[in-house]
Amino acid sequence: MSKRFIIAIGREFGSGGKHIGRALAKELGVNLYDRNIVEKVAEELDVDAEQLMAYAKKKRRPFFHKTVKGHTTSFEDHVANHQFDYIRRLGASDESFVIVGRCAEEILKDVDGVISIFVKGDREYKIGRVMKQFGLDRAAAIEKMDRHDRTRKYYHDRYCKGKWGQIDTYDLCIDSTHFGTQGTAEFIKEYVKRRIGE
Amino acid sequence: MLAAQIAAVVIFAVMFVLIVMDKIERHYVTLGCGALTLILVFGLLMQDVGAIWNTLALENLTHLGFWWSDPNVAHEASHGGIDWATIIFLAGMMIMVEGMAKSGFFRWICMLLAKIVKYKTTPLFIAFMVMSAVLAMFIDSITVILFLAAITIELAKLLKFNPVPMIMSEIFCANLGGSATMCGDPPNIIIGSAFGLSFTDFLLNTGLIAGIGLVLVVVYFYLVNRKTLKAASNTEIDISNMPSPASAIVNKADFVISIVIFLLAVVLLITHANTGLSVATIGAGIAVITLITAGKGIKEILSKVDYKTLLFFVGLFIVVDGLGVTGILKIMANFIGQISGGNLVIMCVIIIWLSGIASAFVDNIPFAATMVPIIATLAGADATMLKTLSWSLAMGTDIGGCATPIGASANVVGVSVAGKNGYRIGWGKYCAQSAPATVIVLAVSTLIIILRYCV
Repeated sequence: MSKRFIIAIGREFGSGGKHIGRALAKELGVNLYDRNIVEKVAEELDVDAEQLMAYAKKKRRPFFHKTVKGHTTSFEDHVANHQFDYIRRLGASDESFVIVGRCAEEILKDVDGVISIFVKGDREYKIGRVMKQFGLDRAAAIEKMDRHDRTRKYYHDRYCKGKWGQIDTYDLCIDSTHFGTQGTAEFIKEYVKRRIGE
Repeated sequence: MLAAQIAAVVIFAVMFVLIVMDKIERHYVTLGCGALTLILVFGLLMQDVGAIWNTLALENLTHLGFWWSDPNVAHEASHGGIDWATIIFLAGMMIMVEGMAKSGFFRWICMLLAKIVKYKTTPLFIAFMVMSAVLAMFIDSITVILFLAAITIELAKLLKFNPVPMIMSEIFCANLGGSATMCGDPPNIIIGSAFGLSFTDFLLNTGLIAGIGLVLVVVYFYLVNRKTLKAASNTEIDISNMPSPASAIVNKADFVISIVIFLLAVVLLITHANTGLSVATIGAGIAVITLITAGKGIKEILSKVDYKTLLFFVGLFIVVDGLGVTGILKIMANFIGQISGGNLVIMCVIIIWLSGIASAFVDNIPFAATMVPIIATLAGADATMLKTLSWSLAMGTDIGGCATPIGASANVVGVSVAGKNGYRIGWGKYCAQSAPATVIVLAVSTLIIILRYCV
């Protein structure tokens, strides 16, 4: 596609959002940004990426942190803000890309060509995917899925005005149950083409 | 009166909880609770307009004694309400420090010191600790740490060492240095201003304890981090790549002016017991000189003044006065008096350790503001006892905050600067190093205060 576009994907755990993002990036010949943003931030700061990764989506513990004149003791906030700064710089460039998670739809809301998408899935469909992908039994898969979704919602809603997973936060909300990851990626690709007028 | 007392306590408790929760900016919390105190406690429940007027204490500003007092006449303790002297002094110092920061003073002095110790890790570690303490004696510890931690990280990247131990030791020393003088830490300004204590009073009492404490903590932090420091010392250093101190100076004229103003402030503070100038006059004077000499930079300096902290103080003083006027602080003082059986040693131990432990977890400023009227009640007309309890309160509140990452503003800023640069300082790491040092200094403070004033 000749026109610049940014696809910002939010997703439920187990819905295949990450795979959809990867498939879209491959199909459209652009970079995919997800956890690799933390690695890039660590590289810029010249610090251990593992440490940043561990706090990239950790829940901030109440009562254990304090803010003074805009300075916070929360390392989680610092890692998040570094990622947001990186995303802002990507937004300010002329690169087209796909980005998964990291509040990208809110961080980049004023950038031209941003299309925000939320991928959800039928609960049974997601449980099946998580069980298969991680080799878990049903109970463990449900626990993992619910825990990740709670963390994602907390993280998103802590830094964004829009609410995680709610229709008015995104341009398009799609249930991946019906088309699968590849089919949903193709659907989104067509949507993006029409949105940017190609 | 009972309803007013209950309301005052509830408002105070809500204020404290909201400050600890850190969800709403703390100046909104104290101002909101302050307004409630004025309207609900004084207005509706006590129906005492005079109490509102006394708490606002605006009349004080019109008294000559507020700005200047005859050095030969004993100073009268303040009578509660908003401590405008503290607020004006803090505002003045904020303006002066902004002027200094703008000129590049802090970066220059850090780079100069690093150059003097030839960028060697262990001497740098010790030198930065001492500098942190010395600067914090005159400048607020937030500013000291903001610059020192940032430059420590910059040097750590060039010299290939882990900046975390150095930042934690600098934070501790900034708090320790702040305890040495009347202007070093807000609790000291509140205590000094309330009881008419001078800069020299603090220097000769808490200053002495802080000096002994500094020697101990330098040795302590060195011993705790010696392996890390030794490993870093083995790295080859190319001094030619280091930034020169001169490169830190943004504008030579501003730089010279800011140093002169800083020295003037130091001289005025040291001599204020002789000149009779109040801290409010010194603060206001320094602010005016800084603004006049700032020229076009006046707008920038004023925009950077931390008005939120000043408003926080205004609200805080009102809420604490609500406790005072309704007699709650007197009840608390009587309780401490009963526990200690009127024994000064026990009172000192209670005040140092109670304020030390409390300040490790909650803001030491509201704690100090609350304790000031309590120790005034405990001491009654006994001036010696009042001073002894003042030093106990100052050391407890100033040093107790060192123990945890949220105990003092300097800790928060230091941990934040490290975090922004990718170095995490968590509770475990912070407390493992700083809590034992806090206990050491509090124990030494207790010992010195007992031996010097109580035996």
